[in-house]
Amino acid sequence: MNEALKVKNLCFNYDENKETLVNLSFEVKKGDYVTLIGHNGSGKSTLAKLLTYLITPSSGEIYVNDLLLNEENIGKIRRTLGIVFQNPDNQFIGSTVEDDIAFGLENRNIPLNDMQKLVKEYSKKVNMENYLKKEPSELSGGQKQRVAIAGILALNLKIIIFDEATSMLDPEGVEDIKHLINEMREKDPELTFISITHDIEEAYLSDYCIILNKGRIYKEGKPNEIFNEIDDIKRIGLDVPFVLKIKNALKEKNIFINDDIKTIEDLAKNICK
Amino acid sequence: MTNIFGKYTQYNTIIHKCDPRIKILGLILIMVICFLPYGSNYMNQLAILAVLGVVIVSLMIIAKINFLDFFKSLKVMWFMVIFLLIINVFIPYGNNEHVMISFSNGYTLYWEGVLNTFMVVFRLILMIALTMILTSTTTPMDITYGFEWYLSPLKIFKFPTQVVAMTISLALRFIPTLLEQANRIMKAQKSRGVDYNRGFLSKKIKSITTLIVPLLVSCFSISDDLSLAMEARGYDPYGKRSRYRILKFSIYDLVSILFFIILLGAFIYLSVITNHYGVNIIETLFPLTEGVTF
Repeated sequence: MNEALKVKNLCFNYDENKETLVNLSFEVKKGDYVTLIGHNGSGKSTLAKLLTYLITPSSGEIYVNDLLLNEENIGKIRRTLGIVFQNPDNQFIGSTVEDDIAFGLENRNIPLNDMQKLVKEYSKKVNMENYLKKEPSELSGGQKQRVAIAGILALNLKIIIFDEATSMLDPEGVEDIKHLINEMREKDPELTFISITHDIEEAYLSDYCIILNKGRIYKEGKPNEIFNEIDDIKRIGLDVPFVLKIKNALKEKNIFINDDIKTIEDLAKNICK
Repeated sequence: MTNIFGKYTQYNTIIHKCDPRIKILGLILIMVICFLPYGSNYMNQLAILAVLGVVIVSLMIIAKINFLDFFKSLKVMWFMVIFLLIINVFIPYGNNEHVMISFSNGYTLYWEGVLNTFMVVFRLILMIALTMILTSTTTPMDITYGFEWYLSPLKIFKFPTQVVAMTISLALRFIPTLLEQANRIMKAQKSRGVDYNRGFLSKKIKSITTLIVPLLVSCFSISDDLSLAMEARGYDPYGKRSRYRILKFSIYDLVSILFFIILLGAFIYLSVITNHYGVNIIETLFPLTEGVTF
């Protein structure tokens, strides 16, 4: 069992005339950082809700760690899979930061002493240890989102889904959270991240990328491969990552840059060499 | 926007440290004390209420309550005061002796009516002060837990107390969020030309609907998101959950329990001797004064 997530012929429609998701099939390897990109209305968020069993598929199957996602298994699956939503305000459940981080732990019936330790540990990880007693109205959007992430991380999950979790944050907040994700993945190589995003640069940096268009998988594969087909990407109105644009422009002038180079900093270093 | 009963402010006073269950019990006990009958002698009643007022004001000082906030919260009482005054003055009851105005058709207004109003209003002010002591020294979460504890006997009848507590705490948690949302919608509608301040009542009601409808809609979308977030984090309302906050009794609680018992005992004693035996406390305490009767 090398797949964290297996989706087979998944279909979903909110009403009978309009199909939201059509016959999706894909696999997510353990420990991968997978991005799902697509336009508004391409069915990204619906897919996220299906993966967490917040809505049930019209047809098709989802396996999480080889366990079929259904009413019977959902309790077990929720212990391995968590999701962070887009709006930080609407997922802040506790009345203070510490209560919110503890909420998921309370649901798991974890004893008080362990909870206190975990709350301290994970609030430190997201740099919120000085805000434990603060109420949500006293926090910024980025801080609230960091609390939500701490609440999910504290549950020691194996698969974490970010449903546009960084879209309401400022660039600095986004950077912080990217660092946090990298740190978590280094520590636990089995940890699978699925990020649903508009950010084409983030998608380019991921291990595997799935592009959704009108409820179907338009393309999937390693970002280097799929973004190289520039015409296809542009046809559905998506942008091409900045680094790739430069690489291609250089290629026309017969300057070849290694495929591994994905960030602007690395590219600059490589060109200067 | 602030709550009329005052927001929680963090200090390290004895009252802050006290168990919320004790505070709720104390609040109810002192409220009962406020409304005990203290005989028919007005001087006696006023004296007893004054003593109670001193007790409550000193509690407020101990709890470091901002008196400015307190007086601000009294503003909302104006309508009630006028209403009570009209009822009490124009519908005389009890023993009325001191005539205020005598109309030619034989209808008289008595000073006792004004005095009765004053005492009712004073009691109401004490109630507001008490509630303020509770809300500004206890977090909403702790108050909820306190109430949940008092509801716990209902568990025998399979009453879902933890679900009720969760509902209350979520409602409290989302008050600021909804206020913010309401402000945002108001600004958005103002920029589209809706006037909330001017115009006749009918026009005002019309413009308020432009606020309420979108607010309700966003309320539903928030609760939708919230329920998804709770479900995704494994919330099961009827399942077994552990507690992050556990209420513990401390030495302060013992002291406050004793305080409340003594207070309750003392005032019940006063109530019995004044009401039942008709003892005039002021004359008994200060026998030298000429019997000041009202």
